[in-house]
Amino acid sequence: MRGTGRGLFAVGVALVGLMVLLAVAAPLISRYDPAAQGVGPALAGPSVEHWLGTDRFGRDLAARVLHGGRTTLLATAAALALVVSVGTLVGAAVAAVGSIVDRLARPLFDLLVAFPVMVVALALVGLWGPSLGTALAGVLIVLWAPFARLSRSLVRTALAEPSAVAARALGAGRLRLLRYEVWPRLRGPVLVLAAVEAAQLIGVVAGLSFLGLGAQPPSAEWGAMLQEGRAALWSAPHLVLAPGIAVLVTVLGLTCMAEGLRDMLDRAGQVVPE
Amino acid sequence: MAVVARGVATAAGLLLVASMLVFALVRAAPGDAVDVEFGESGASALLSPEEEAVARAQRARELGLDRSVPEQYARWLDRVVRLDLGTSFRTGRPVADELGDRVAASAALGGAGFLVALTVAWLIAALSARRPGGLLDHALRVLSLTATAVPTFLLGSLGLRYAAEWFGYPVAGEASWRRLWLPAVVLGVGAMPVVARLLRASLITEYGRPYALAARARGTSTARLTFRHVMRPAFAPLLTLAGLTLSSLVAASVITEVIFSWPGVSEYAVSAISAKDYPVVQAYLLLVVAVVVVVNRTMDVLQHLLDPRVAHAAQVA
Repeated sequence: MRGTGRGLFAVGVALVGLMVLLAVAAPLISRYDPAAQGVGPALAGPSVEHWLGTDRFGRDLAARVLHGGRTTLLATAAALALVVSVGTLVGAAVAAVGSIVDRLARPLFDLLVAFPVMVVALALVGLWGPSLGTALAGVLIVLWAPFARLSRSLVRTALAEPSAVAARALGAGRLRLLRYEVWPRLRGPVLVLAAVEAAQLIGVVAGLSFLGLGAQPPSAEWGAMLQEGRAALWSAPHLVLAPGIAVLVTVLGLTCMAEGLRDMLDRAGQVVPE
Repeated sequence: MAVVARGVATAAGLLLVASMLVFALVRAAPGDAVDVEFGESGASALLSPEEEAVARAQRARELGLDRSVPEQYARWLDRVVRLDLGTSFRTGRPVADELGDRVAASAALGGAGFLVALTVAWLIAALSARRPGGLLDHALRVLSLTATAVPTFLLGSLGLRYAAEWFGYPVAGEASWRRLWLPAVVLGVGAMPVVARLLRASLITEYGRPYALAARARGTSTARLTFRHVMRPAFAPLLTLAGLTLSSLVAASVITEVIFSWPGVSEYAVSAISAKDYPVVQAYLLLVVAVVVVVNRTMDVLQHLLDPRVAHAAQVA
């Protein structure tokens, strides 16, 4: 169809890897303390001294974006690991048990999948008060469902494949079926979905923070920086632009990874998740 | 008919489950209605601690908070079904009325956003499906990927800022056509890539079908082939798509409505959050749940009615 997808996947991995590397090596790259005020003039534009300029308190914006990546990326990775494992396991369990459980679970998964993550996170923040933890919790409540739905349908089809039926007839146990029949058909699509949902997660949390409903200042976190920047949108748009572009590059990388993987799966004749 | 009946039954079941989830969420939140009325415990200056405890218990009894949880749920559901969503703490008006005033603005923005997404997606899909894997296809794919990646808040806030500076776009004010286009474009850009991908794939499939080849062999022009023959079947997956885009449109509209101070339901909910106006938050959640369930089920039923193969596939699965 449209190339092998390897190139696109590589671009995605490179972009995400770059953002992770920048966050990890933040203290080596910028010599400024992200929390130190008055290291430069307030609200200055980009310069040799301060690559991305400074914020309202004269803090170095480049240092803040670099260090902020640590919190944002770590929180995203942890949240993602949780939803991927929980969702995939629940879906697989439902498919394995089958019968009435399966019939009841399917519409429930469909409902949760259709549900806007943003709105649930918003409601949770509304009831518990704004913080990064609450916003993330709101995302986690619904974001496991896409993985559960995907893994349910994949496990069902995998177990019905002639090769799986043959393996069972030869006396393969549950674990063996899981390892050799189910897992190879599961990992690719789950990875695509993980990349898609990671992008969504970062976008939603950053969006909530931008509205002042997620991460709170003064922490150096992309969302919190966006919120601070929003107040100065008219006089100093670079305050929103700097963390905003950091979010954009990360999401772009994840999206490229997902698209590249999609092409690769498509060529291999595997299921391609939406 | 059986399909419709089953759709309605599923929708009712899902709404019931969803209402339980919402109730559980609201109940689990810290502070109940009594806390909200009396403030934190011991905060009252007029009452002694004993008097306050008595008053609190009295009020809790009036509100039915001393009953069992299932009973409370039943009473709550009864009120919700009659559209009694409580009164806003801030304005003292019934929440249902306040939301009702704003539904039209949200629907207008969402509809306009969907239209933008559909138009742009159709253009992109039609151009890329001409020669899959060609240069134009690749270029448009890069465009789509970028559109997916641009955060709504970035596009929205910078768009607002520069549109105001360059063409005098009205930053605040009533909902009007003059103010609708920019947030609609912001919404549309976000929802476009998913639509474009689906349409492109479906167009390529249709172009490759025997009837399309036969039409080409008869000398039908590409434009005629596209508009007369291929377009209709290619739009078939659009029903699923409306459901798919709905959730992303709703999500993006939260950000967009706030940035553009567009007087819709999401903007109302966000402003209620900072004021700790719980009944509004709850009602907003219920409204979105209801819309999502109803739209999804309707799409499902429509698809069954329009394409018998889907019904058959569903029965087999």
